Amino acid sequence: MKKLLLSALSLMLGLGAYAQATLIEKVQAQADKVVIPYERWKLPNGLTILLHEDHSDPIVNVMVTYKVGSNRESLGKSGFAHFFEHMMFQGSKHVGDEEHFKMVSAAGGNMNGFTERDRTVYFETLPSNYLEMGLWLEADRMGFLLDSLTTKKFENQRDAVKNEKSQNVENQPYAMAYVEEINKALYPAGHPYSWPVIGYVDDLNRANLEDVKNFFLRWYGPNNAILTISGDFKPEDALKMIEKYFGDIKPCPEVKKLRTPPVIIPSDKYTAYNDKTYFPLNLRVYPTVPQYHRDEAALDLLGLMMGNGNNSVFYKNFVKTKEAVQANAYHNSDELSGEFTIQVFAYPPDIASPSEAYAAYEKMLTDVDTKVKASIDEFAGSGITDEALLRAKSQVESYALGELTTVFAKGAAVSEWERLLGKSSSVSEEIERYNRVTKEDITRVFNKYIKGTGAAVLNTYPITNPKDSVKSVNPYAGATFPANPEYANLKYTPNADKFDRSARPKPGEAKQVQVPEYYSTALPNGLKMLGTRYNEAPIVTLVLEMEGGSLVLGPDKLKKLGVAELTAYMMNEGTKNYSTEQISAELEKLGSSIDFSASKTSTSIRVQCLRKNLDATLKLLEEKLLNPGFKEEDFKLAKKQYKGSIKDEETSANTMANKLFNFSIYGNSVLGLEPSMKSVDNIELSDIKEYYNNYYSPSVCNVVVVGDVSEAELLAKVEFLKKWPAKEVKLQPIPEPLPVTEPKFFIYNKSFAPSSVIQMGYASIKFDATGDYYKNRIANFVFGGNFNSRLNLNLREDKGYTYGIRSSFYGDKYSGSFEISSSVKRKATAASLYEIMKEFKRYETEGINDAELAFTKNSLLNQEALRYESPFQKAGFLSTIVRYNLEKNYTAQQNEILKNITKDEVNQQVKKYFDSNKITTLVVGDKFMIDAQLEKAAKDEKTKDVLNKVKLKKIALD
Amino acid sequence: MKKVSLLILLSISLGAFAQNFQVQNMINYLRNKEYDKAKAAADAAAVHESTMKSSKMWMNRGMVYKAIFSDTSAKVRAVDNEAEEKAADAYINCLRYDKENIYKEEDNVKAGLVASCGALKNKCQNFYKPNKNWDAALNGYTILEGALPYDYTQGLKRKNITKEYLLFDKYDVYYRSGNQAKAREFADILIGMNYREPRIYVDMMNMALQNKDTATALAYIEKGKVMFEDNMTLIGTEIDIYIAQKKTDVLIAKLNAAIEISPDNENLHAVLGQLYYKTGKTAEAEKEFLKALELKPEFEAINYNLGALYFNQAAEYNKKLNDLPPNQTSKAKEYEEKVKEYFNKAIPYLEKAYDANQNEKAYSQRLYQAYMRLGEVEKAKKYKPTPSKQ
Repeated sequence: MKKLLLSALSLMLGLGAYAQATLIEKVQAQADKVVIPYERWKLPNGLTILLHEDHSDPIVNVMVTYKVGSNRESLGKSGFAHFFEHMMFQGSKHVGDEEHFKMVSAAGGNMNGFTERDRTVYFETLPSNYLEMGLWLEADRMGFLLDSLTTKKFENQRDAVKNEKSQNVENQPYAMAYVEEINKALYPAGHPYSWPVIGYVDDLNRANLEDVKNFFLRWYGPNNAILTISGDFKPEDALKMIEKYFGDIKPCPEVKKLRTPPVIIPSDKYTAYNDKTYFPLNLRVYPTVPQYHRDEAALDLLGLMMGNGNNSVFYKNFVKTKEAVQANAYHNSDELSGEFTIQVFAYPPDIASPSEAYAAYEKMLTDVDTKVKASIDEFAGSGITDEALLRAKSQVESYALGELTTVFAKGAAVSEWERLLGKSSSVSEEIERYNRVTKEDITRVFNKYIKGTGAAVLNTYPITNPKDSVKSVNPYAGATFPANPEYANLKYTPNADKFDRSARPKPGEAKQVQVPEYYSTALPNGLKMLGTRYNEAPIVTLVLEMEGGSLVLGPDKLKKLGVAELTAYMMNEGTKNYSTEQISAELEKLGSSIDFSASKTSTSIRVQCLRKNLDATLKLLEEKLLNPGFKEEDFKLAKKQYKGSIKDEETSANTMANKLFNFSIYGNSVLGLEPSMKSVDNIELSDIKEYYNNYYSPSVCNVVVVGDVSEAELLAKVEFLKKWPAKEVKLQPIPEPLPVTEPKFFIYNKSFAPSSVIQMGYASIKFDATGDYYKNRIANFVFGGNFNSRLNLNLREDKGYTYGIRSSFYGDKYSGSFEISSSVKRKATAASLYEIMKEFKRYETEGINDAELAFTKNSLLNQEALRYESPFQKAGFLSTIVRYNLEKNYTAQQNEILKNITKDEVNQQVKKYFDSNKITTLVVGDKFMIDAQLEKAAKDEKTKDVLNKVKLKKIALD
Repeated sequence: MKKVSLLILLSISLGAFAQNFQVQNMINYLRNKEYDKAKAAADAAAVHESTMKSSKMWMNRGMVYKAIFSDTSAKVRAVDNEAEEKAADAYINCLRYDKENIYKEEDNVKAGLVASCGALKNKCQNFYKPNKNWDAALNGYTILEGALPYDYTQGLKRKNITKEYLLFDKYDVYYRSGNQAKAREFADILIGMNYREPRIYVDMMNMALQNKDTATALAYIEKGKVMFEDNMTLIGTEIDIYIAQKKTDVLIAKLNAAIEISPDNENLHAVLGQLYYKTGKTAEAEKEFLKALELKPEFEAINYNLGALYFNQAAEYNKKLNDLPPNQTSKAKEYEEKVKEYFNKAIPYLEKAYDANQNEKAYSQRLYQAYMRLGEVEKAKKYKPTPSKQ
């Protein structure tokens, strides 16, 4: 009796032990509205909890939004919010270094975080039986991060952040323009948006561990956070877990809403910088209003009306006239302010000599600027029409309804309503905000925010001297600033627990994963169609894929390489019955999109529309597919744009690395070459027509449909596909890779490039779902196929050489390859090569160990739950089945292989397919500096054995 | 006679030759980096009647002074502390005297103009103004105004040297130096041009208020609000003026307009609530107080105001109850329930106010009375007024 009493008592104590959440609101589904049903709760410590139940897939998304971004930084301490985001992945009191990633990977989940101006978001999507683990992980880093913060972690992440800036900003054409330069002119000194989210390097260099601790103590509390769970779970179960893990975490000091005065520029304010780009850019940004300001919706619509698509005034005045490859406008708001952007990527002028370049660009950009202003005036006179407004609203509706197809997207949506509005909202209310906008509203906001007011105008001058480089300039460099009072008197008092938090939650029982049910049909003309019902969002997606691409071109046609791509370009233009502008307008009215594209191996057509507009969209698809216009004027425009984009690609280190790598493997063959200025120049309109007539055929076409439409309904709507006449399409023999008897090393010189792009690998086997190709995927997982791979833990987490490195086996019906790719710190290029080769040889020799195999199996098996959620994923699944003629249960077969594969079998794969003697290495970077590093490394005791054979030979595409 | 004339002619031509020689000296000294000598030659040539309208002379003078201010050596820059002004002025004069339109086509002249004007602008912004050297700043801006007609390449525009910006820069100098008359003059010019800078209106408003000229302050506020309807400084000050003037009706309309622009400003709701309450609009007052508290739950004054609003409503019903004849039992019951309802509504808000400030007697008195009336004696004890010491 006593025992019973005691246990009853302890049960009561247990039940009452954790802080109780209070229900604020239940948002219910409504028949006549599009609503994300969810519950809003709050804990006594201030944590806001949002719960959206969705059992359509056995997955769950756990998201924590902290209401702090770069907006809470201060002068001299830029980049801290993003730096801190990195620290949040370095473990906490009960989670080891790198363990967060590992646990989520082992669970089969994916995870990430991102920092913006106004928020920092952390999330993981997991199989639903791992919900408790997800909550435990998030609570541990919310409440117990400081207990595990070390100088080593701090320094590693400082390097990682600097690498990220180097790789993703300084070494990316135009990134500096949007991330740094325009904001210096647009926002007044000291405004939180005037500095980049990623920060200035000298500020990052000055940061210390105390700064990081203070940032956490000040802003990272439950009272400044929103915890959102979206997916397959029961709210009552989730609440108990939340109360347990989050209930006792102490709040941070109160965080008041940030207020800044409206940004106003009385008269155009000019600035300029130099970048390694091909197209000069004129970027004009008008300051506008914050999110949910009463004028925001009208400004968004104005952006679409003025600057989106083929009917925009900028397209007409710049692109059609062949003065620019791209010219458009758009509007976007953040929490404190908004930006109305007009951007023109102009074709560069003819320049007689480098010494005349600057003056030529200056004149050209002055003329562009004048014409932009004239275009704005032209729009004022004739662009604000009912029809244009209707088209813009349709696009907004389509986007709003089509966006919410994943648990992540729905979680993010409800979080944002909470963060910005402090209350619930719905998709219908969001759409209604736009539908309420009148033509008069458009005129009013145009007059207030665009006409007769000033903008920040940034001109980007392409660097012509190879010795020049892109420079990030901190306008406050060298200045000292008073201490921020927000961080005064902050003290860390560890959170106390009523339970053993070190005990890791065990997953629940795994739920059965259902692959999508689908229907399959073949038309008499050879077209194959697969489709699956999807009714979670009122959208329909069709993907048509025609086998062929450049593989249909014989050796004599390679001088016109690019004809497949250019044909696809032309298919996006006008038809026999519609001009480009007309057909674009028709699609915009429906909020639909039809996009043609081509690659080496195929041509694809991607169609997306609202279910209610399926019939009308299919009519337009029929027109585009079967009645292309192929007009001379459109051809000239498309050709010029395509050539321009090819030239522009030379400024992108990553793109050049891909191109040159393929060339190094396959040489002067269709698989090794890419369309060039010369080959595209050789293409005539007659070639386009010939390509279309010969190679656009249902006999090589697979169609995948995902949407709320049955097979019978769909077949009734696609008569035109049945009538599409078939032709015989033959592929040319697939070229063999160049023979490789020893490792090869190549370099493509980019003087003073801040990062080096490394691509290494060799030709390998083609795709096969259940054979060696799939087993190679298993073997590669721990080597370079996940965040906790040997490569990434070494080069990113341990050495700080890179923001990320991965390896993968790629394969399709025709060819395959194994590739390792990364962008590394310039001064660590040789060292990175050494470490990569060292890891490769180690894996080649030792193979996988037991723990790694167990981790691989868990991760890949558990990942199954996440594979079929979105329409895009379902379409991918069906595409794979039809492309490779697979059985419906091929993934189940893969799972069986995975479950049963032994360590010895994996190591046999390693022995057979990991071959260091075959590796071709390509580096895109500063040859002078890299050669010097290699020269030194060839004499260094540690590295000479590996690197003394490395002699980088220059490589260029013909 | 002839000899004298010849001599005169010779002396004139020698004089002219001497000044052209100075121009040549300038060029030579500049080439040799003998900046002090180049400066001396440039200064001499600038004032001599034979060269003072020579575009060539001015161009070279511009080059000399540009070389001085742009040198990396502080010693060279110290040759003339006004090198930026003189360089800009020189290039302007070069183009001003260029009747044949020759120098207009010279790239180095156009580039020199832009570079020296840019340097002068930076000097005004980053040196003269921070050091309160107002006269030098004004002089600099005036020189820059002279350059505008010669901005053939729009290089000045790209450096944000435009008529509008210069007018505002001058206004800024006058305002910050305390020259009210000139500040007002320039402010009115800028306002007339619809220059979109809210600071002008705020400055003029503040200046008028300092001079106790409320009417002028309101006039600038009205003009400012036409262009910047969202500017809370203008709106807030206007509201303060009307509060001081006790213009309740006008104020209510203005507050409602301000709330439409800035709905999450708790102070606006608080003030509006108070105004409504003072004018007997209890329901509207309640709504505004609740909104203010939704935005700022810990708002002490409004917690008290709302508590007091409910308290007073309870008190009214209590009075009605007391005034009822004894036989009106159902009415009495109804009123009693209302009394309780309103006291219960009042208590949470009064308690919140009390928690924020326990020294305020009004809070504790109300709470004591409410609890006593509700018969909650134990709770009332906490708020029992302590007798004052005689």
